[in-house]
Amino acid sequence: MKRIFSTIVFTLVCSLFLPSKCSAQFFQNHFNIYRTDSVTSDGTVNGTTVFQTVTIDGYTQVSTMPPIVFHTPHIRNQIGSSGGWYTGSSVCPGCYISYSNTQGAQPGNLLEDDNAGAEVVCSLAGIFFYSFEFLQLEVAYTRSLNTGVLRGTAKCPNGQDTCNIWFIVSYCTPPTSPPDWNPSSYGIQNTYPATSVWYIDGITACVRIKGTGQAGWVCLPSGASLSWPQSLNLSPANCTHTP
Amino acid sequence: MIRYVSLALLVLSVFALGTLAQNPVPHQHPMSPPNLIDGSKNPELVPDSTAYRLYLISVSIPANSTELDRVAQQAHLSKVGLAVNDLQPTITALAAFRSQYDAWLSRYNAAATAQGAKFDPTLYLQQREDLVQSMRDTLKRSISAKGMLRFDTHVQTEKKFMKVAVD
Repeated sequence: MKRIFSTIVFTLVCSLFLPSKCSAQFFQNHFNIYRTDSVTSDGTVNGTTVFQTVTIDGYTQVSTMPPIVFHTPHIRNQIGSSGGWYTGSSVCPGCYISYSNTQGAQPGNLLEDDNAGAEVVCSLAGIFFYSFEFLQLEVAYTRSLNTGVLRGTAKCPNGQDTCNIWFIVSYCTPPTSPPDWNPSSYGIQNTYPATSVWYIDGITACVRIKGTGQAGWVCLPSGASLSWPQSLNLSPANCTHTP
Repeated sequence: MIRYVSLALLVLSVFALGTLAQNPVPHQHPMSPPNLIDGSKNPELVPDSTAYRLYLISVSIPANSTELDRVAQQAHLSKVGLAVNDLQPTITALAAFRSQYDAWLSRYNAAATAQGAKFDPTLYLQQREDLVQSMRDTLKRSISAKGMLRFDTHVQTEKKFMKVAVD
């Protein structure tokens, strides 16, 4: 009883007057956070769905805790106006926490604010672990030009056909260059000559940490695309370029 | 006198419990604690076993999965670039991993609950490492060498989206 009492007293005083020292004193955190984004698309913005999974996995070591205390993980998983806060199961202070949340959203706008991360709350001492990122997410469009230079061949995703992998370069208007998404290769069945797949219009999803500028965009490596023959003589396009 | 102080502290602690049990709201504090390795800045410091574990947990789905879980899993795995022949064995291996990981988690938490502050997690953490290694071995046996190379390359790339504890 004395031990529980002294723990409560110490924790309360510590929480009130020295919150940062209190966390360090009581909790040796071994939590890991991972956020991953993916996209499925039929080639149009309306037919594009972005999936974001946020995971917290780990444990904390506490020197002593009253048995009535529990720890609860919270995940922030927001894509634009979709998603929000999600709460995992409450567990004992020394227990292991492994909690994931997945959200899928069709981006309402081409540029969305995104907020992801996790925290763990102690019922006695409050938040003792947290990690959040303020992100921006966009559906990026890029027109590319086939260089006609073959990078190599590979099995097509269907597992049967052979695909040519062509080197491509972006083909955007000067104000929209460089594009946020700049794919370097394009794979298509080897039955298509390069001239028949000369212009490639592609979209994918890109994410950046807010405030990192245009160089901060990280795009999913492959997206949905449509290709056009060289005979169409297309002009450079207004690609997605968000500084 | 001691009894009064105890009572006051008990009341305070009840308030503390009540307040902290509220739904969380956006917080005004630094984004991450300083003792986390930020994979976006130092991916080389993220251990392979931790990266694999986080990736496997995130792309595996529970037995009672929803349609959203399944579609999201397909979307996440499509980024790996696996051939069709490698995709199904990967999904099967992920399901087995998830089931074993959930069972391990239950054992860990049962022991931690029973032993309280005396609980030593060392043995369980080694079991966790073994589980991840076993999954990697299973994948190597189940999919093509090219598929495994792509899987490994993808996990390495994903380190930039991880924040991991300094152990």
